[in-house]
Amino acid sequence: MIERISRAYNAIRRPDSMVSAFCLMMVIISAIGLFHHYNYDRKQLYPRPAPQEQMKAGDPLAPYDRGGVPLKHPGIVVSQYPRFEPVRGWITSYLTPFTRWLAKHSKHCGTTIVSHPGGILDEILYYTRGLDTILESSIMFAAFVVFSWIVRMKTIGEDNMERERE
Amino acid sequence: MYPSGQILYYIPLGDIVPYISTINAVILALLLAVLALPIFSNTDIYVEVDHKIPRIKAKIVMPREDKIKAALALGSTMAAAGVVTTGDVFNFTLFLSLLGICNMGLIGTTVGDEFALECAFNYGLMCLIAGLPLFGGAALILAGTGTLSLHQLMHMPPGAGGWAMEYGKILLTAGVVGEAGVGPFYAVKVDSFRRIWGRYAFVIHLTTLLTFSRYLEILASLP
Repeated sequence: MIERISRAYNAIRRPDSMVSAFCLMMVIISAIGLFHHYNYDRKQLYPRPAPQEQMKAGDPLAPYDRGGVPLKHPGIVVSQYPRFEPVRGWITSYLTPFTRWLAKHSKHCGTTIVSHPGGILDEILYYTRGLDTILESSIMFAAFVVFSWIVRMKTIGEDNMERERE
Repeated sequence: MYPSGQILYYIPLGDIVPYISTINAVILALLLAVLALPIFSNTDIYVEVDHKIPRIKAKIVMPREDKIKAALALGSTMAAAGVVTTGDVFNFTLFLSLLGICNMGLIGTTVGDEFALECAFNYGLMCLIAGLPLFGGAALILAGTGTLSLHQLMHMPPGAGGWAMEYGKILLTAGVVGEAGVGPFYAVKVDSFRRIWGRYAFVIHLTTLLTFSRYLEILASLP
């Protein structure tokens, strides 16, 4: 019996079979989750408008319109701890002059959020949950550092890399 | 109310409110002590003893490899410090992903060792797959209860969120097991530890262990 257990442990000890073992565990867990129904809480912290609601109203900033007039009154940003975020809503309402021009002449300004400078700054991303956004990019940064270092080492070689330092 | 004892200090950082409680402070102190170890030690020659054929193998570590490993060890420890102090479930998963990537890099940047590279590849693959249950679990907790903040989740009555919450916990556990490499998936990391030198192996070891102890505290505070 003990011999069998040790043989099983040795089988998942190898690096290539470890991934398969983990995938098998994931398959079992997913199978458990498949046959249940899920009850969602109606009182969500980060509310969203109904799908296509702003789009059908002809809003050029759909689906990211959070209201507010620049420098007059803030937009609507719901947050968990309002006492820690005294100036929330002011940045969301602000648009650069170019974006304001684009919003006047196009119906699809909200969906081109990344393709022009100074679009709508989403405060949920950059203010109330700002640490998350920083971390997401730093994960990619760490992965890129590791990958580029290994590739450089494999292509130009150990000796050349040392010589380069001098 | 807090399962980890009295809350000593919190940082008001938007919706994410990192906090230090009694147990967290002990774990954090231990982590920073671990970080001090690679800083003050200095290993330039890595010695390996083979017991089957009595021989001693020595390898001179080049400064550049030492440098990248020190940087990744710093990143790993900082991510672990974030894991220990964070007050938000989604933030916890993000810090854990950063930890997994840095630990993978620590194994993978070993020069002149094919096996270490293979280990790092498979471990990285597992980190990638574990991202799915990790973020899926956080999403299900948000869907079931409507919030992600641990300070709010602690005050909820037991049974809040129903099955979405329970399944979210299962998925989160699977994600932590894959990302930190605990349980039966620990074996390959032990194997790859022998390929890198002691002080950085120590960093991987302790960050994942303390991460899991912190995860148990989060599990205790979820409804």
